[in-house]
Amino acid sequence: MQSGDQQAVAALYDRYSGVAYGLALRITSDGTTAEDVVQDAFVSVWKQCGRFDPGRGQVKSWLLTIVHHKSVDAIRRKSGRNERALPEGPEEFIATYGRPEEAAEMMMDAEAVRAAVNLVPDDQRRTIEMAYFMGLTHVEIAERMGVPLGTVKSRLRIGLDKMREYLRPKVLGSE
Amino acid sequence: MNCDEAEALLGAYALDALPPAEADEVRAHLRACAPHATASAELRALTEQLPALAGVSAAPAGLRARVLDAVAREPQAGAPAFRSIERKQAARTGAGDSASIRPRARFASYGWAAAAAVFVLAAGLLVWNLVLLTGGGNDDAQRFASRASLQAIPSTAGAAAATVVRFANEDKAVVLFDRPPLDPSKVYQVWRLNEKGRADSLGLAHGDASGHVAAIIAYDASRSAPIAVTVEPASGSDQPTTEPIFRS
Repeated sequence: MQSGDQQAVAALYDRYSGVAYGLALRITSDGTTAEDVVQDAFVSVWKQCGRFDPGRGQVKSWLLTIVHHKSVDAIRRKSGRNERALPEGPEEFIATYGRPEEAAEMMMDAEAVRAAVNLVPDDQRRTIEMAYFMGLTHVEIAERMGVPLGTVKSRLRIGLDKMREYLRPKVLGSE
Repeated sequence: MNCDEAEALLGAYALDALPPAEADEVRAHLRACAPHATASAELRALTEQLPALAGVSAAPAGLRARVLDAVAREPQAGAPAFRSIERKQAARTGAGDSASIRPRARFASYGWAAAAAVFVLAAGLLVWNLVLLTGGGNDDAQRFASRASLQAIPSTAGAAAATVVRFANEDKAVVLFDRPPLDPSKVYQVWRLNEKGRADSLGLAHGDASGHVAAIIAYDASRSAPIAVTVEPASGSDQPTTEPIFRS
């Protein structure tokens, strides 16, 4: 890619555009915005790939992290909300686990994630989804849910811990 | 920021739900606190699973060309790039320098499935361990192999080929159908044929543009009833309404 191999971008697009667009669409709820997000994300990967360390994670995870951040940026710009911290560079990207590439494993993992999320108590799950898919800060979530900030912090942490507990042997791998 | 304060914010931090100033404080704490740095990395890895909840949506036609056009107009920053990634991947898989990410794209997300189909031809009913297939050099393949095994399903009718992917400690399996490329615009239904000659639906299978169809089915190792796949209406059918494109 560095030497002008744009076919590598094409391959990456063919492989991950569906999941990237699906994520952007879920967050932005707008096809045009989702398209712009996906385009920007692939361009970012192209421009920054020299900073990407393959030893710290897979391109797919990096790409989807960028898609998530750009999607959140887009809906926050639209709604006029204040900024929140969104690390974007690969150096900010922490990946401690290998990522499944295979389609079958992706399918099983997706189902495992859905199952794990469904096991999380409703208030914790909604709090996590408001943070991830709506791009809200913990303060904003507290305001919308009408609960103390400390409750939101606890729900996010405990909810993620419960997801991890369930997912560890299935997706994340045992430690 | 002390450890107690950081502990309370790790969930929000992993989900990028902190304002910049607070995120900076957490980040500074993580640089000085190894246990919390580890915990934070684990939570961050967990959040990387969340896109799975959004599902996959086919990107609109024309976006691919727009992306490639935009890339062609953008200069790159930094040094090592996908070339090095490709080389590392090629080295992992034992492939030569000519191997790159490109050939995998032909199979979209089912790149390994097509490879599995090759083994289907050669291996018949043998269960293959992916560590053996990959030479043991690919971390992901090793992890995959620790969880999964591939088994070809011989066909008695229909032109399609099927491979079942069983996962350790799972009561579900993935069945992949391909060859010849299946029509992505059609809906496929997977069946288990019971002793009474009836078909029990195992679910609908969805395809991709590259002609591969995959379905998650309930898997019972104690049963070996034949399975079949037919083309059905989008909502599925109670019983098969067309000739099977595959029957074991």
